[in-house]
Amino acid sequence: MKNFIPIFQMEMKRRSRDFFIIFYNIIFPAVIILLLGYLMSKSYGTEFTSYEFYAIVIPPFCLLMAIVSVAYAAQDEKRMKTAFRFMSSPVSVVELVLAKFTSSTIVLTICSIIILGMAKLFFHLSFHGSFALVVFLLFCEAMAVTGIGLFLGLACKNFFMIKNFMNLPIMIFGFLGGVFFPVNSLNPMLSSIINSSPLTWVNRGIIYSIYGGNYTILLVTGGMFFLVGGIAILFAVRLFKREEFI
Amino acid sequence: MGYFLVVKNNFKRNINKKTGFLVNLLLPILVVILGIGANYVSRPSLTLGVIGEHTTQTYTNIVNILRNTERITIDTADPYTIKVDTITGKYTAVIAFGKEDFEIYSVKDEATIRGLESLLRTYAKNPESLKIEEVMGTSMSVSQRTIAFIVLFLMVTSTITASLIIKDKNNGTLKRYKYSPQKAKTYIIGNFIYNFAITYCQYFISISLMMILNINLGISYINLLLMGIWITALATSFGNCIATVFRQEMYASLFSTAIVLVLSLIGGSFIAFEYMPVMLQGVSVISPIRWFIDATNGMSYGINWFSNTRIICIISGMVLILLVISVYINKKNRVI
Amino acid sequence: MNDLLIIDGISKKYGNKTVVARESFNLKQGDILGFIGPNGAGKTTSINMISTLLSPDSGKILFHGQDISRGQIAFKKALGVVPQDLAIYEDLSAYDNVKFFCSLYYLRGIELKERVKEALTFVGLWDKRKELPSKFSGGMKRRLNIACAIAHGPELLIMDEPTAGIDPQSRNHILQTVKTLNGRGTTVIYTSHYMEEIDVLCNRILLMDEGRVLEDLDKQSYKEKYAREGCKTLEDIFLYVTGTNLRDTEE
Repeated sequence: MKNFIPIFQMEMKRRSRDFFIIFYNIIFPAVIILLLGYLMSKSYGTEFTSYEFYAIVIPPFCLLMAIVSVAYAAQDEKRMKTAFRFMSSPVSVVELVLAKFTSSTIVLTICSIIILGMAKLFFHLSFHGSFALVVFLLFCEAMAVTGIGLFLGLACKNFFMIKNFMNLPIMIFGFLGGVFFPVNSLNPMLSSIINSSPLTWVNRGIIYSIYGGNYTILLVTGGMFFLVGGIAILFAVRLFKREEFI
Repeated sequence: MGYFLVVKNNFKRNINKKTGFLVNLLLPILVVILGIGANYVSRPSLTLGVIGEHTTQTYTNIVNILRNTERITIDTADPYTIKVDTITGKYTAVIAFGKEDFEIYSVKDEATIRGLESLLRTYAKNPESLKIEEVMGTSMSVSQRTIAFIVLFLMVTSTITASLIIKDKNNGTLKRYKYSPQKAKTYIIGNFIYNFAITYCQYFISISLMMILNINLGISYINLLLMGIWITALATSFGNCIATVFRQEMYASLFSTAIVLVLSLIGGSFIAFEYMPVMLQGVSVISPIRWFIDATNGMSYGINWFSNTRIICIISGMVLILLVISVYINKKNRVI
Repeated sequence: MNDLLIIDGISKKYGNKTVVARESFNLKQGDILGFIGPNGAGKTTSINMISTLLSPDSGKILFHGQDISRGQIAFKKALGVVPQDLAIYEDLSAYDNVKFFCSLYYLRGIELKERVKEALTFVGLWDKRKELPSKFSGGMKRRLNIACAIAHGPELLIMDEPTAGIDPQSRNHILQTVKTLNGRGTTVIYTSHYMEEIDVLCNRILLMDEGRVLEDLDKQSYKEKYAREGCKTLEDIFLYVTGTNLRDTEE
């Protein structure tokens, strides 16, 4: 793993300067929280404001959207035509994939922490002692997002076909997860559809932790994301396609 | 006619990749159908949780009538999770019944809580089912939400279809086009026509499938098809404009999603225009979604699409502006 | 021979940097003009101005005596450009590539089909016309790149390093192609860093450096002029005139 550190350092520099990762995970969520918070301000009371609601649900949604940026980041070397240098050097696939995975996860988690900090400062969102746990959940989500993104970018043969549509299921998960307005139903069929969205569980986990003191959903969801991230990375390494990378 | 050369060429390029072309064509249709279905099925409703004394007359009167009121669902709530249940939207409100009276817990605004309280007090005295529109003032109709959803998605998928422009910029063929005697506008209009054909096809199949599946939006098929022409024109000109600005497909896709989401929010996709803050009502005029929602409102009362002259002019103006911007940017684009 | 193209004092500046400074030369009908110079000399900018992708900050370009900034369409109909980077659709067959680009020059119907066939046969790709360029070798792609530029029968052909990165066989084929085209009346502006190509192909050579034309002579005159300085080959002359220092230019 001698080559892990230099690649990791380079990837950290690149990710932290990636305009779209910064835009989509700091600026865009802040704008949407402000907009939606203002739009729905009349629909909420004073005990729990619309700004607080959207400060909870928007960051996980924007984090999920980062799957697209990460998938493209996986193909950076191909786009910049430097992939051949990597493949002809003594860098192993594991080092390359892990470096990309670690750097993207760290940068995405930092962006999420910044947004949560802004929520606390500007929208007076109180975490009732659950801040660290919420960060943990978003860290696990970042792992899953990065894992899936890297799998799609490095190991998926038909990436060129699906890359254009990755945003659409994420938007649907957003709707189902109650990102734009609370969505819930007692109808069993509808309930199952709503529960199929990962954002449903993330939002519930955060809300139950902060307002109910119940950390079960958060920890289980975090654990699931952790597992998904780990499996996705394993598949990304196992199914890495040199010809797609070059 | 240079435009049709570009159209024909784009079709040839895509038909050679049959699987990709079919996915590009059919997947958005699937998404639109699912979205329409979801909007149709999850019509605005109230879900109320109840806790407390179940044996009083007040409880019996109120709860029985609520069960018979259209678009209200009742469930027994957990008294330890009232706050989280109301925040997550599991319940719009939780009614805690005491021996004589009841209390309402909700994170909703004062007006909604007062409206609900008034409804419940009416039910307590007079057990006759009423309409609950007053309580659900911020909700939009199914047709409005569905059309807003369709416009939102077609604007995103149009940008995907317009990514041929980005490919041309990157593979040098746009440069070769600029060497020829053809004008910048020919290229843009040709791509517009191609994108329009694909997008309208997707819209037409979605709407027709909806009709076949008996999903009634309260708007006639003809009106939907006519409105679809303007929806498609707007989505296509937007997609083309985004594609002329960016050199990478990812940036175009992500940026278009961000813009469309913001336009959707300020256009009134999530809350009826009348209930939006005054400042946002003013800003919403720039969102085409706002105008389509307005037109949908009229058409659900039987008004013909062409009666919406003002809206047609506004949308056509937006389409023209976006096309002009695309032509200008394409002309100025550095291909060297 | 008539002057096909007159470049009269064109210049181009990017910010404070003058990339092309009052460049003037005439191109006669039937010439194969070798356009050479170190990296950053201003060759590509000059070519982009001639092919109307860039507007000169000053000066005029006349084609058959007409200012091309006024009669752009007429000029473009007579112009063909083989860009340095490949400019072909990987997802269209070779035939469809040539057909599309030829049709942009207002050719239709039978004439279009005949021109496409002629161009593909000329570059030796007629048998591969139904295949996708993604399956072609580098040399074949370069030949297709040329076919797309010549199918409409241009009077003036600009070729920007058309043999970069290909094998000697394909290069030889391309050079023969250029000679044949010239023999049929096409005037050619040819840029390359391979001096032996310029030596073989061109009757006239224009040497540029730092945005200025340093020499504009026919091939024989170069050799006579610089023989006294001990320059035996065109490459010797090039290095003698422009120097051997590395050119670290900004893009």
